[in-house]
Amino acid sequence: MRLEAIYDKGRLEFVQPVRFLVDRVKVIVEVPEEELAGSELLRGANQETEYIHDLVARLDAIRRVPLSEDDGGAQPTEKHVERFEAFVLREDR
Amino acid sequence: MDLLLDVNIIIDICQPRPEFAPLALKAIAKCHAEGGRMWIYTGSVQTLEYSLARGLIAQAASEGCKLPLSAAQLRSRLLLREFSRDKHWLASLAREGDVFESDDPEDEQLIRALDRFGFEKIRLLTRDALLREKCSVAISPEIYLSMNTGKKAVDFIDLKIQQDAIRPGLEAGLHRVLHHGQYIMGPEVKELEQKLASFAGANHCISCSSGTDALLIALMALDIGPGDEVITVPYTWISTAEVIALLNAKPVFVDIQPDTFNMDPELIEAVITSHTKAIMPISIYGQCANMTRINAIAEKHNIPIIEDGAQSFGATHHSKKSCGLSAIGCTSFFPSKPLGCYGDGGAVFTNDDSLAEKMRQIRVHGQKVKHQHPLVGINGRLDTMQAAILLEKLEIFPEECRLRWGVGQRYNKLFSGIPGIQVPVIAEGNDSVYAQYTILTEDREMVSNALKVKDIPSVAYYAVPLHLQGAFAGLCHKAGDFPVSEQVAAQCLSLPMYPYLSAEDQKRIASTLKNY
Repeated sequence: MRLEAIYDKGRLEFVQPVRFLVDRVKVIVEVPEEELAGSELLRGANQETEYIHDLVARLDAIRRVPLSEDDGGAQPTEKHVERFEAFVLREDR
Repeated sequence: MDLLLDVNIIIDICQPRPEFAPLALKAIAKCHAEGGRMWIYTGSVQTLEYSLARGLIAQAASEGCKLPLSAAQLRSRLLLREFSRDKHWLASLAREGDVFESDDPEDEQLIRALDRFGFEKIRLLTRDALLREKCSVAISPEIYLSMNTGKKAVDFIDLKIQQDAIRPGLEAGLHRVLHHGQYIMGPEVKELEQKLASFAGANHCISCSSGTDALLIALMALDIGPGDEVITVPYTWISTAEVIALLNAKPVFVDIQPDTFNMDPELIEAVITSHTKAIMPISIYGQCANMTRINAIAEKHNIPIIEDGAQSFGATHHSKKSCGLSAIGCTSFFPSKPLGCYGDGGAVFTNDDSLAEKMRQIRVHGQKVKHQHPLVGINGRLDTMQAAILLEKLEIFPEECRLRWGVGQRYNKLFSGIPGIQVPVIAEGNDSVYAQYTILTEDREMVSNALKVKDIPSVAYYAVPLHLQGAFAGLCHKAGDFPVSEQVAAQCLSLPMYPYLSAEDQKRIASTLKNY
């Protein structure tokens, strides 16, 4: 739910009175960027976190699909096996 | 700053290797947030595929599972495809093939590939300490994360984003030309001309070596020469009047409209004489002049119109495309133009078969058939390399026109209500490709300086109108002769403009203008 609030000298006050059922509640605050000191740094940090979450989620989705003997379509050809064995020789630094 | 991602970094993330993945992820996230591009070397594809498959098999084995090679390969390919989705492929070039004298041919390929980037433009992100010893731009994720690389500044025109989007096709097109070797009038030139004619809604397109040569060819085709007069505007790039003067004809200026900055049609008839041989309106900043009204005047006096559409290719006037609106339309493919090549280029458009034939001859030294030159012409062909580039860019051009319009409208909205800033007006029946987004402000220097402080470029296009240029002193004009042109020249300021300009950057520009 979106509720309007005013930030005034360190305090965030709701425009309409609001009563919470618990004492401590996490809220997401939308702030006009032009009014925020160091907004570029904050935006950069948010962007980085979002980028990592998004990429990891996309890769995880692929990794989560269970694979069995039948997966992977055709069995590897002799050429594939040869290449794989060759790459096993590759030193990974 | 860009990053070339070494194989180990990519596998750290895709497998993932828990001990290395967090740092690698942070490093590429930083690059992304700072507007850098991430490259994967095409020569690394096989190493990536098999090394990742090997890692996946080993990882499964450590968890007590057996992953068959075919399944590991499938997963490896899916992961790499997903990972590379927002990365850029760095092509492997022929000079990166003969690396067998090197201690490590694979590393040598990467080192050579980095050669094509400018100083301080890229780093090779790798965990490989040996590679870092050999390569001065190689860097570990830890060091990269500690660097203050800075966020990408706003460009006046950013051609890289567009290039990123079409790089595979561009490279293929250029290589095709290198292999067939028809560098002059190759098959790409013919294909481009057909596509451009169809795009502009004209029967003929004659590609040529620049927008300036397009105008020159058009004037020559109309036999304009000494003693003739061509009506045009003083508020334009110098080519418009320069080509008239080159043919020893006289540019006759009329003033512009104060809101669209285009030729004021109501001033034309007053300067028409028996010597008037053409009218040459320019569709400035990407918006067509009032071609309906100018065409009507021209028809009444039986004078041909040459539209200088150097900035407006892609724009429409009452649903008809710029360059297809008059006897002859000319455009430019200068790199910064809405449809630009990677050098000089231009094109002439017409529906008139005989004019088209004549202009084709003028383009090639007046040659009709080999060694037969019935006309004096110029060396004015578009080279095949540029045609190959334009063919690729033309594919995305309609979408880019749409994006340009969106960027222009966003500027208009952001600037509305800012005192002292006049935004460009788009006349009824027109749209614009916003070759430039140009505002008027009486405090140009202050505004420009305020933008500069924020690393935002701006340019005064065009600060001196043509009637006050030394090159046209012979016309004996003086300050005050064309007051609207002079006022616009004194107040104009063009702002960053390209199809991919972000809303965030535009907000930053607007905020600077509000507070200067």
